[in-house]
Amino acid sequence: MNTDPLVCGQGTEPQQYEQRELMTSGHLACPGCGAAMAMRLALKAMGPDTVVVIPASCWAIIPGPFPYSNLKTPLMHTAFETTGAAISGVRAALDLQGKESTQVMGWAGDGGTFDIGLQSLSAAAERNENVLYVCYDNEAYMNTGIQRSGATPQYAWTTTTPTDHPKDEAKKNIDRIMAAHCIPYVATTTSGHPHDLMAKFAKARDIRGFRFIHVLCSCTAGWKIDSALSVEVMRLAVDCGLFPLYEVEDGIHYTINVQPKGASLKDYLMRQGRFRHMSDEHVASLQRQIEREWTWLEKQTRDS
Amino acid sequence: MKKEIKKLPEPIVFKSERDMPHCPVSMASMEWNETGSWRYMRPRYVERSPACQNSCPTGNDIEAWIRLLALGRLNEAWEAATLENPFPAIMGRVCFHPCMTGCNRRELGGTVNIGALERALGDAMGAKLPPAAPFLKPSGKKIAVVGSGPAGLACAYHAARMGHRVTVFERAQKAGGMLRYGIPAYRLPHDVLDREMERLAAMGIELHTGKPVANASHMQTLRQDYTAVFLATGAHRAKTAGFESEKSPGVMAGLELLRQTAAGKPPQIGKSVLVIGGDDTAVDTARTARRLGCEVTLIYRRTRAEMPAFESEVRAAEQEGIKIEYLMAPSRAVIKGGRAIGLECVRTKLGAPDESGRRRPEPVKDSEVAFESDTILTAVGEEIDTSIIPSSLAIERGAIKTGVGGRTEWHNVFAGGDFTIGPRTVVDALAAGKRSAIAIDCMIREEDAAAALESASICGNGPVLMSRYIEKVAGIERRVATTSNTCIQDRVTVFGEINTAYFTSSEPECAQLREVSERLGKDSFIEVTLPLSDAARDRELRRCFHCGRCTECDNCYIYCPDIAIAKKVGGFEFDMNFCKGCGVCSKECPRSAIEMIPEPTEF
Repeated sequence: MNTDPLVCGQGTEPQQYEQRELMTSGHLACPGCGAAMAMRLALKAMGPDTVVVIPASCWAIIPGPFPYSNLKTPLMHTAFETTGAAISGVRAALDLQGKESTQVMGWAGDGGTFDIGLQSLSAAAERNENVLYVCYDNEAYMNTGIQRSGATPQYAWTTTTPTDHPKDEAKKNIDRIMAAHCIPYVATTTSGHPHDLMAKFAKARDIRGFRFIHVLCSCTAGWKIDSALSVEVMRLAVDCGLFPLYEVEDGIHYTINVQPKGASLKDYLMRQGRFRHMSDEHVASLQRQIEREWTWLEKQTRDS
Repeated sequence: MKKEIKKLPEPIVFKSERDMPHCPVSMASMEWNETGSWRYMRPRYVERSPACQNSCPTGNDIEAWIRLLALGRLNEAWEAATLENPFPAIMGRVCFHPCMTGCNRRELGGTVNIGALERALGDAMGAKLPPAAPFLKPSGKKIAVVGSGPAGLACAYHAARMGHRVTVFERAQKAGGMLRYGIPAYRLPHDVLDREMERLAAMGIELHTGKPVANASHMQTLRQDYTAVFLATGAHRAKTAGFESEKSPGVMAGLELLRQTAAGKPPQIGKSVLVIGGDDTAVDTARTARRLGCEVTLIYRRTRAEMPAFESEVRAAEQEGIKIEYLMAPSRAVIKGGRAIGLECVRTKLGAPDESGRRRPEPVKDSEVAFESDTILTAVGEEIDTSIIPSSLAIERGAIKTGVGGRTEWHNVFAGGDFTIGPRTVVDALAAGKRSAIAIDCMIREEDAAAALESASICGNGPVLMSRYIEKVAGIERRVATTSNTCIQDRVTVFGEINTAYFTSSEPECAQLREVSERLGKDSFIEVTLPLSDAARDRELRRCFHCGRCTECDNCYIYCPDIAIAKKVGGFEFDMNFCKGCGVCSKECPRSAIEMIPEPTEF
């Protein structure tokens, strides 16, 4: 699979991906929304025979109010903590109808995954349900007004962690939690890496059992960035090493898909209003965390 | 600007509870919701001049033919290249490629090797080049071109494409001027040149060789017989090097050696040869003498750093065993039996900079050195033979006085190339020929040439583009299209506008040189520079940034969070009903072909 994030834009070769749109315009996402990009690209890879299940999140609002939807696939709204249970139920219902080839895709935010929905997610993963669970991670409860979540990076500003008391705790490592369930597939990607994203969704689509994809999605309102920088910051998050792009198969086989280009962490942070108050010591501390994480990741890659 | 009209779904209205479904289920898409109203900035596709094009005196649309060549559309690439610059196969070999100095790739691994690609394009067309079709209907006007060097041929070519009947008069037995008689065949093989001459003949240009326009009265006849005359007889008279006994037998001009060798009759110059000078003619002379079997020493009064010759040519000369004596100036030829048998020189040191900005060589006292020689070849520059200039025309700084588009004081006589004042390079001569062809066309149309040249040039003062001129005078669109609905801007793309996230640093592919043993072997005038391999050519084509031009890479389309960019045949289109104006497409365009502008207040 070609996951080179640079495939696009390079030259004059035609691109290889599904041209059909399974998402329509007119939706309610903010201008430059990374989560809107992620859904569109994910559905391109998943295809029309997919049921999407969405709990409370930005994405509960983006498709539009009753009686509208901006997805051309079936979409079921569900309660905040129930994504894991809801997708298990939809799967069972489809299987009973003999629709085993229909894909079930849970689509929850970081709050619905890292915090509120963790128990139902863990249970569905433990049962190895034949579903895809996607966490689109914009690193706070953005929809309700930018409250900190377990996915908010350390030192970040949110409305509940103001700049004179920025978040003390490090971001929870959801990918290691999910890998520890020894499910067939765990992957990380961002909507700033569309070819990597589509390749991972296409790969997940063809795997049976529980699959988990963690998509970093920029949030112009919550990250306090110009909407035009939406893709650039996601790319920098990967290039400075803060958000590694990798896959874990069967909980043990690690593959790093994109090597960071050595962008500066400080450059990534200072482009975003939510980090601009950070001191040099905070930046250095975050840099040490990145190095620790990469040492661990590289060891896993070597050992697997 | 007109408001985009598209039939959109209507919102659903429930008049009573009975209209509603039993459970909350979606019944329509969100496309009734025109999110375009959120927008305060809007994107638009733009097209700007790539830096390479602006750095080329002929305004060669390099990006266009690289793009087409990369897509395998060879004939279209050839069309695009020959629109502004008639001779890709020649220029790929002999040009000093100012385009590469301008190339924005310089900042990311090295400039694109445009020279090698241009040669590859020319060579890919095979032995028989397609004649360029005229853009305009035959005008019935006759134009005489005097001199068949690059300036004359370029003028003839462009004038013929504008529908005029062109006759070229050439003193030598074969056409090409300095291309044939000044540039040695190991740099520009004669068959490459002949192919281009055949192509010009096939375009209906009459080439009369062996027909000198020898004097002023001859000139008078021409200007009466033809609607316009273009003078481009070049600069063929070698300057004197200024040492004692320079006029003795055993001393000859390097240019003369080149001319006679090109004509197939190399002169007897003995075994041991001294060449005086440091420009390309000097290096060409030295390497030609070396190929005739001589031991060659090049004498130059400054250092390597000040040498005007191409660095690569000097390096090749050294590989071929040519000795170079820097900081050495000739003072006197040693005469024995009425013939120069050696040269006395004096060492120099560099003093204060002169008017050219280079440090002036000053003789060092008591540092005389003597060299033995069979022949001394001088190559210290060329000057213009002014004898064909009628006495009633003004002469300025040793050349004919010219104005807009090379027009002389006689209203239908124009001049260009080395025959006039200006930079003496092949590409500048081609540009001068094109400017004069346009000025002649304006004269025939009774239009203002100065205004026409200004409006046809990049940013009003850059290279003159034939594509813009024919679009203006005849509405003929020959620009190589990028995406549709593009706003064409008269601006040059700079490196800062390239999104380097989409390019990796890579080194250019360099053309290999033939082995020295082969260069100096039996077929000693065989071409030295080898073509790029097909694989190397393809890699090099892909290094182009395509500055300021849409290549349909799909980035804008793939990132758009609002699905407001539609892919169509020949490009993309924004759907302003839905575009929220986030600016991601503009920011993520690798080559700055989308800009954000404030939302207009009026439609």
